[in-house]
Amino acid sequence: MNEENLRNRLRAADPAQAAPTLSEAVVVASTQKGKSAPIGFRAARFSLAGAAAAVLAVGFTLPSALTPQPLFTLAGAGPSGNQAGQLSATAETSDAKMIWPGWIQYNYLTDGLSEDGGRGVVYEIRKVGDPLEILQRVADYFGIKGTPKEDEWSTKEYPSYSISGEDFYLSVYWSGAGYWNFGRWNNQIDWSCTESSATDPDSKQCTFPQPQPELIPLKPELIRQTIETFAALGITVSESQLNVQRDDWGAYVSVSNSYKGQPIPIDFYLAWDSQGELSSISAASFEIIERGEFNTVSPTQAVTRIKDGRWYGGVASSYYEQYYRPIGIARSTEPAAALPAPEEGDSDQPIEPIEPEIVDLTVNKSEAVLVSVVDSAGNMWLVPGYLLFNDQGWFDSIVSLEEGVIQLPEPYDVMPLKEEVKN
Amino acid sequence: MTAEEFGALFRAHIAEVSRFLARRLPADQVDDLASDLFEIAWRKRASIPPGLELPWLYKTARYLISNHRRKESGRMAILASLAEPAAAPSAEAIALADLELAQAWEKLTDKEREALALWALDGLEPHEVATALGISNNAANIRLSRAKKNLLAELEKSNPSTT
Repeated sequence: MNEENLRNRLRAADPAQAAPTLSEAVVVASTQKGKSAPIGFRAARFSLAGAAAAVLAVGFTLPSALTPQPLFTLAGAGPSGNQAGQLSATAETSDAKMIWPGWIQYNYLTDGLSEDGGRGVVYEIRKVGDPLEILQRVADYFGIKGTPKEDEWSTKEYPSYSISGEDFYLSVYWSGAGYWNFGRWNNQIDWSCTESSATDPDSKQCTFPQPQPELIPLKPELIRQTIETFAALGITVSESQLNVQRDDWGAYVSVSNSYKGQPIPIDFYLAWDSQGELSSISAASFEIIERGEFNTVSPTQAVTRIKDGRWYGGVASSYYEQYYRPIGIARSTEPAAALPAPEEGDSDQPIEPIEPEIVDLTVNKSEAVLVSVVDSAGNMWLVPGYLLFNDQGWFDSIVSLEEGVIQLPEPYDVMPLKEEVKN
Repeated sequence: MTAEEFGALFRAHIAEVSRFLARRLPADQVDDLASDLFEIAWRKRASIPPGLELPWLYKTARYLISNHRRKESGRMAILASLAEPAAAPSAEAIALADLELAQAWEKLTDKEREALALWALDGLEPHEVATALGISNNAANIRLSRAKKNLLAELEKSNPSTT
């Protein structure tokens, strides 16, 4: 298959071909300062948020002895996929449901899991420092000139700032763990293209540069540069934290972090380009604050939370490296049969919704871990949770805190697939 | 640029922006994001490179989608830990018509999926992909080249006779 065939095959599989076109009023409204866009969804959402805030406020006015206040309120109005669940998302819990009529619906069973709850510590991830000072420190180290500015997409909960130039980009996201990242690129590599036909726009032939693996630093050098670069920026990392990947086109070193011996889902990284130059780096500026010990539910009880969708948390990438195997081969015991590619001229034909296949899935192993969640103000927390392993080859990462310790968002309403998306 | 000129210029991209957002968001969230996107475009109209309006819209939309996903994802905190924006269509988004392709697609990294989607689904040329991703032409070419190679390799693995 050549590139053009690949492009055509991707285009043929694109469900957005039939997506409804937005009203042109959205452009006109954007130019009318002070007037809201003519969209009903936003107003409806704000109304709901206001109502939720009012309910919360009432809760907070009750005597705390009668109504323990939650430690924090989780962000969001519902699920948007889970870790392995980007692939395994069930028909009930994933927002993919809204653009995908369903494929496999999992029926969760348990086998041999403990029914004992326990106790676990909650930690707050607190950002450290001033985002603009962090930008300046990184800029100084890499010799970058420019004035930090707040990004167009910056919001109150998720502020972000950046310095950009012709061949670099430096930014900090002042939410979560306070991530910053820097990237720069080499504009000197020549890509020469010629048109072999004056009338055919697809006839362009390009000469691609060949990889030069001899330019890519070897593993010991990558490790040395990683440790030295982070040290110069005030971050101590050790060789045991590093995972080195190197190929003919570049190299990548990820730095995993842990707290009190438990891996946490906050990684740093460094990357080198095809010329062997340091091309990007990312790290975070945070401290971990212990916020108390709380009761946890048993692994068996935690399984019942999988379908709810609101109890998912993130776990360290090391767990994925250790345990994850592609789900594609586990979706069915039968060989997957590819649907026939749409024939030319059939683009107006409605796509028939696929009935979900019901699959019994047995959770048969658990492991206590720290999982990360984000609260409604954009702050990150580490809370007790479980990896719940199933017989299909992946795991779900579920918060194990007892009900009430943290405030969940409103239950997620699964919306029926819209007709215009189906068709 | 007057409001009329802005309207004429950006209304021409409504269909592309609709599809771009539809590939990456649930249908009921497309309108809100589009509204935010064009408000930013109006405020920043003086700094949008002439001729690159569409890649500029895609670039800004990527950040809006990324921020939106972080905000909406109470249970998917790993997104919040991503330092760079992630706005690639999921495997499910292309699963309807071609399951084999979807299985190969999900093996790619987010960065590879994004570059490929901008090239194949959103119809951008490599230099426009570079603008949309905020990277150099060279980096975009390398990323696209890798992504195509890896997708073809995954397709080859799943069905050697079709590649």
